[in-house]
Amino acid sequence: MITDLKLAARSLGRWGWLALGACVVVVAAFPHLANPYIVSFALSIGMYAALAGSWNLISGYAGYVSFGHVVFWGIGAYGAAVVMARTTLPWPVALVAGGLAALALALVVARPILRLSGVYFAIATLAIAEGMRVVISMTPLTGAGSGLSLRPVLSLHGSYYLMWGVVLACVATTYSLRFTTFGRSVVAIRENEVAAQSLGIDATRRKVQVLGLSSVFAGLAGAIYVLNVAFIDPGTGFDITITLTTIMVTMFGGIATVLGPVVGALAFQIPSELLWAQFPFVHKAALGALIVLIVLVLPRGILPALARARAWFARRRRGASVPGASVPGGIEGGEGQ
Amino acid sequence: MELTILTAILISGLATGAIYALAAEGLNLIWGVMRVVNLAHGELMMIGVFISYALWSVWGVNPLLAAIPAAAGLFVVGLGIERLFVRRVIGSPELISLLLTFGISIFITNIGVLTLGAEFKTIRFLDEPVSILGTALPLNQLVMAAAAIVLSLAMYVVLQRTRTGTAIRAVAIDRDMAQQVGIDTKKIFGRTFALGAALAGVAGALVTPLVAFNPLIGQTYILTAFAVVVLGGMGNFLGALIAGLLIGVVEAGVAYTVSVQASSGVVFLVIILTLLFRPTGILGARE
Repeated sequence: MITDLKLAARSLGRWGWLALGACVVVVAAFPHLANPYIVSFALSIGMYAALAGSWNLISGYAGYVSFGHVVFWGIGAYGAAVVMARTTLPWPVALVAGGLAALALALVVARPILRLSGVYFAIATLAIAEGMRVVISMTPLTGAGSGLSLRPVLSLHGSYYLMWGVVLACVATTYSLRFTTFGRSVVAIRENEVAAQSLGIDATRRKVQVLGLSSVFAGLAGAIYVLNVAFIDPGTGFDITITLTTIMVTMFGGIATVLGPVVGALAFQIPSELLWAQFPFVHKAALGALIVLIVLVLPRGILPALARARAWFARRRRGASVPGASVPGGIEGGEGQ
Repeated sequence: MELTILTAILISGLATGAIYALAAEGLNLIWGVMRVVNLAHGELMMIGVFISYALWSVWGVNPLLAAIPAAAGLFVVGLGIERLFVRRVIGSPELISLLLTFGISIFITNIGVLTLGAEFKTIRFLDEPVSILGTALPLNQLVMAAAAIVLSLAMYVVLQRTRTGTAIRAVAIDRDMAQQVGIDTKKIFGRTFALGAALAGVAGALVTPLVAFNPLIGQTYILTAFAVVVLGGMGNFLGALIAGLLIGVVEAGVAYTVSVQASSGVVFLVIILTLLFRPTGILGARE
């Protein structure tokens, strides 16, 4: 495991580390250069990057399409909110509690639902999210239907840094998948579960692990959200639009790519904020049309499309010597050592 | 529990359940034949609701008669959506068709809200109470439930006895073999989707006197429709009818004994439990 991670770190190369360092500097400096409105918008971009990264693990890499991913975010938010509102513990405990609450839910539901495949998994996750909303809105501990208010504890800047920290952790985890036995097993399961099992991969264990990992990132994002906003109710906590925006962000950036969730969050949220946010229903109708358009025109996302374009130009420069050469990038399944 | 409460649960549950069954049957048909989960099904139903509402408020056409133009209108809409969008994603991974139909659903809902407004509307049609076995129910609930059951059975007969129905069932069982014996599968996909949309339209027309509605009504029915399809078995037409009635009765039971709020969780529990405890029976129909 450790040697795998060392390999991952080395594979990044000098330019890779420089680029990463540059990104970290930009993200870190950003709040000091922008006004609070822009920073809070950047916080929401970070939240969707984290959620998309989380969704990408279970649905992009493991191939189990979750249509109820908001449930992990919502339970993470509720976990943190309950700690803040019902106890006197400090906020870092609430943050950890949020991540653990999401993990606990994932571990409870993982074994049964991961036996399902395809559409049935998607519907089961959708039903879990909607069912959880009903359960939470009847539980006195979580403030039932009217939700929980807590004292705001995290400043805008604080939550911004925490959120992008989660994004960084999620991207790093996703990147390391290619170098670890765990990551390769997960991709093998997506490509062919029976064949993966026949190679000795414990598919059930791996699937439970990847769902657990995915849920922690979503739960932390939810916890940070609630520590900043200081209010959560069942309607927000289990809002299906959050699931769908998450899916669209990942699809738009590039499903099963390392940077797809981040690129998608930027490329999807910024135009949506600039163009449509003033007109809620026009905005939503346009979102619907955009989803249809992306699915039909760009089903694999921006990053794979860019990789294809680059390969095409490279071939042109070489005088089209290798017609029909396979396109690099995109889904990592085919790349070996 | 008193006997009267039991019969009350049974009767009002069956009346709601019959509508659930009809709402789910189009979804079921499209899913079974095309392997596309039509998340826009609730919105097709919403269009049916508003066709019926428009006919009622302009000419006073009663919702039973309005079901005919609603069916015809949605048949055409269904043909259009299939031709323009759905046809392109048949055979793609599930995620693609789920997202496509979801995009269509968001689009239709919000265009509906923009043009028709979000306030609730109602139709008063046959709302005098009648008493059956000591249970008082609005007459419209009984009439609409009966119409829904008759239409469900009629649809079943169409699928079993007509040439197109047989072709649809053949494509559902094995697309490639159906093509081998000379069935134009593309045409069948178009007709299946249109027929499914027409069923949604009829269900929409029939619910207008029963509930207060706005353009968001589709969202309240889509998950129930899922539960019905999952419980009844994908592609199983009579299964959906029975499952719809069953879910209606269970919901009514929970609403009487626990709370109305808890009854809204019933469908999710049904989905999860069915998928967990009968996964082979349901998944078995897939490949």
